[in-house]
Amino acid sequence: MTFKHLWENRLYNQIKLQTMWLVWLSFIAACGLGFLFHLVFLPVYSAHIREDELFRHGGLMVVYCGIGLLAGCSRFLYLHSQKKVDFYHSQPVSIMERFWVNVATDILSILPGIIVNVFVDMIVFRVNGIFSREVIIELILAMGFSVLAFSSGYVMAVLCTILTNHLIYTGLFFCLVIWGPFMLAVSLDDMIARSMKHIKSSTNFLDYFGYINPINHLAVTRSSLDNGDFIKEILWQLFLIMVTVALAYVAFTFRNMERTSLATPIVWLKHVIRGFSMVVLICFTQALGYYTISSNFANSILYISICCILLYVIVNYIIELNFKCMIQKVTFFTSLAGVLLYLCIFFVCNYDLLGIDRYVPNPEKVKTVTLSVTQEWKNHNSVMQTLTCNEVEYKDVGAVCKMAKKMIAVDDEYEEEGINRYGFGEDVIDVTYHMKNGKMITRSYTYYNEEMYNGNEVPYLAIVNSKEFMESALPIVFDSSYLETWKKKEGKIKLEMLVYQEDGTDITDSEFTINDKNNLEEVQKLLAAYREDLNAQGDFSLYHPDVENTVSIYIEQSDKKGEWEDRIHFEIPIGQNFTNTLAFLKEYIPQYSTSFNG
Amino acid sequence: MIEIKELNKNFGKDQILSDINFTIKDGEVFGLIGTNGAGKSTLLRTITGIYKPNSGTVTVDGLPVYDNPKAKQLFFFLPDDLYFSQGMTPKSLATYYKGIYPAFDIEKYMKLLDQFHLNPKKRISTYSKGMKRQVAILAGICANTKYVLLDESFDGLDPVIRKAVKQLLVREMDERGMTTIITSHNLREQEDICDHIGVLHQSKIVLSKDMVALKCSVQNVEVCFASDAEAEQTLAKLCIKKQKQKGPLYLLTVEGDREEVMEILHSVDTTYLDVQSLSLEDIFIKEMEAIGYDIQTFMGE
Repeated sequence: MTFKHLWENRLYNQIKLQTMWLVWLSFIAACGLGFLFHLVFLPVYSAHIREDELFRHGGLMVVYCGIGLLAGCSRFLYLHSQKKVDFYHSQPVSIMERFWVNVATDILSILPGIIVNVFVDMIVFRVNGIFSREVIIELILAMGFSVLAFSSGYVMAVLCTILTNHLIYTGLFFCLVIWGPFMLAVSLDDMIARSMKHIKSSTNFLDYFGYINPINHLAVTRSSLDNGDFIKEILWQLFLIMVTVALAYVAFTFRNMERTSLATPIVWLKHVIRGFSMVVLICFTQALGYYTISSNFANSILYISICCILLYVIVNYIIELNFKCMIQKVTFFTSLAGVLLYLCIFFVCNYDLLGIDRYVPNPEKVKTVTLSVTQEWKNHNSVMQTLTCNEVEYKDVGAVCKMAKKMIAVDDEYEEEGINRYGFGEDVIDVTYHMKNGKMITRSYTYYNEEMYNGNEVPYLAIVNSKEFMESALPIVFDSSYLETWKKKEGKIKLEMLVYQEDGTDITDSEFTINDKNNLEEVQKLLAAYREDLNAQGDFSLYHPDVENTVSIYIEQSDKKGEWEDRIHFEIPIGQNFTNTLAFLKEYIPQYSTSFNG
Repeated sequence: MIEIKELNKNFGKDQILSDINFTIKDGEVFGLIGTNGAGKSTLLRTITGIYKPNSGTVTVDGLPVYDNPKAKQLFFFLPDDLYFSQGMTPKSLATYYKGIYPAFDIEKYMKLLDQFHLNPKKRISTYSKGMKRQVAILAGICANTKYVLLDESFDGLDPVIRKAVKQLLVREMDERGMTTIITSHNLREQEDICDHIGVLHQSKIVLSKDMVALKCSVQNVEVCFASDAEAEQTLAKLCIKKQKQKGPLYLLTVEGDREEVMEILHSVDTTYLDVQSLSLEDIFIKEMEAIGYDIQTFMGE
């Protein structure tokens, strides 16, 4: 079977008879949207936008993905009709040829529109004087993205269509694959955020969301143009497309085993879809109905029960298209499995049955630990001070673990006693345990009041007020070579210093920026003055009652394109007796007020 | 030759075909008849490779059928519910089939379309049900395959076209030895055209016989014996499938070779004797009655 034979006998005829609409649609999309869009916005481009941004709007990618969904679904929708299956599958065409000729036909059908659009765009840009090597590269990239977007939508639609037996069920399955993990992740995130005290709701779920299927990954691929992982993400995209089409092919071969009217060619898959739908949708409706659930236990039981019944009916009707299936044992038990899974998730999150929320790792298994602290306290003028330190490495892992356990215990004690902590000031400390096995565990603890420790030592305060913590938090102060390393980096360095001053009634801020890395010397003078003052203070700590003010230093480095990145932030507390530092600030910042000294 | 050996096909828990064994010889017209829901269409779909058997084999000229284009090239399947692509005309259908069946004779097809007064450039979707069927049957004939499988293909054809199509089929069988497999509930029609009959009931083949042998193997006998003793003696010698008595008149359905039955009946004194062959429909009904599938079951008697 040569490509010539295939082209003459199958592909050409098939395109002519069955796919011309796709060819025309591709032309309309590419030339209509792509070309006209550029023509309309060309005057804007020529004035403002960089050449590599010309084709990075995601609109055409979304359109081609949509066309791919339409094409994939319509191409294989014949599998849902007995008479169409009889017509096609009785023909002397092997399963492999039938599948791949269909796929090849559709991909070939959209290429003419995209290719023509590339050439037309080139002409338009040439005529308008925006034409360079970068423009050609971007045009080719845009063409590649369009094909990738089409392919991603196409293979997903093909897989979903093959695995189902009618269009509505295809739609349910598709939505489940595309959005199901996302909905589940968001719902779990919400559940964790609302019910767990020490686990921070994070976006870790969403990092993986982009790798579940090729359509979701399009967003990751698109954004990789800006963050440098472009080649890697393109390879991932191709890999996901190939895996999906391979799965579709395998499912296609199984299709001939079953009657067209059955829900799926793989019978057990229907039960998995049913169960998973129940879990996802119940979690999502629970997240939506949070306020009903949180009001009281009876309301939450009623709400969840009604949701379960409604979803049971809706999901199963979509799958089977009849109500009789609702009373079948297999339908009931597979749906029940989904409900039970949800209940497990619910109880684990709300009652911390697995002890995840209260987990503190064994110090021997921890490699390092970093702390991020946001603390508020009143200084000697009874003025509220706030100080934030991020990702401060603390060497004494054992002390941190001990602190975590104590904070959990105190929190539980107060919760048991039903004490309302509203009105207490609170500090939040985020602890990230970097394990020896490479994993990272992050927990968040809240410190309210020293009284809660009944006169015992407060491990939290011992850590954050320690010299070791201060030195780790402010390497810019204690490591004299710290700024030197920035001097050696390529690109520009920007230093911002923000000083907030308070005169008791008004809060004003002044900001000045050092834009030239040569002015690092000025900052080094400030730091030298600060170190001198610090040495004179003795026991001064980061969160000392004598802190009057803070100087925030931001360091940013720009890349070749002039975009700022690698932003590092230090907040340096200044005590009321830091005379050298204050003198420097007054000299350097004309707007700096001395009112607080008075 | 199409050989089916111990074929089993089920969809989930439903057993649709159970231990099917029969052979279709080259050049014959095989009529597949059966009760509603017996599995006729599923059997045809399994033969044509649309469905994969759960066990057993289906071979065409020694080649297994499933996912085997070489074997599938040998036959053309016309289902009862026809499908044509959007916008297809008879002419484009011919081009399409030419790509799939290399032996498809486009010239012959155009000629036949003309003879049947079908416009080759008109969209098939605008045709009536009968005309669509004509287009499909003519395409099947012009595909020049060795076997043609027709599932209820005469439905919707008027009597004239029906006769014309049958003549075409017969001509093809004579000229190139085409083998035809026909399913139909119109047993009168099957009786005219088929050489071999297979009866399918509740997933099993209950009867598979040559048409002549089938018709000669069962007869209706109306007889009045001279005496009761002779009646008793004679009835004991015959293989009686069904017996009724109205006074001295015995109404019998007798299984066995017709000549042998006649010999037995002529060897005794009878006051009245009439022996008639059963029609295929009668044979079918009688066979079904023997296995409990009869009118009384449906009428609640």
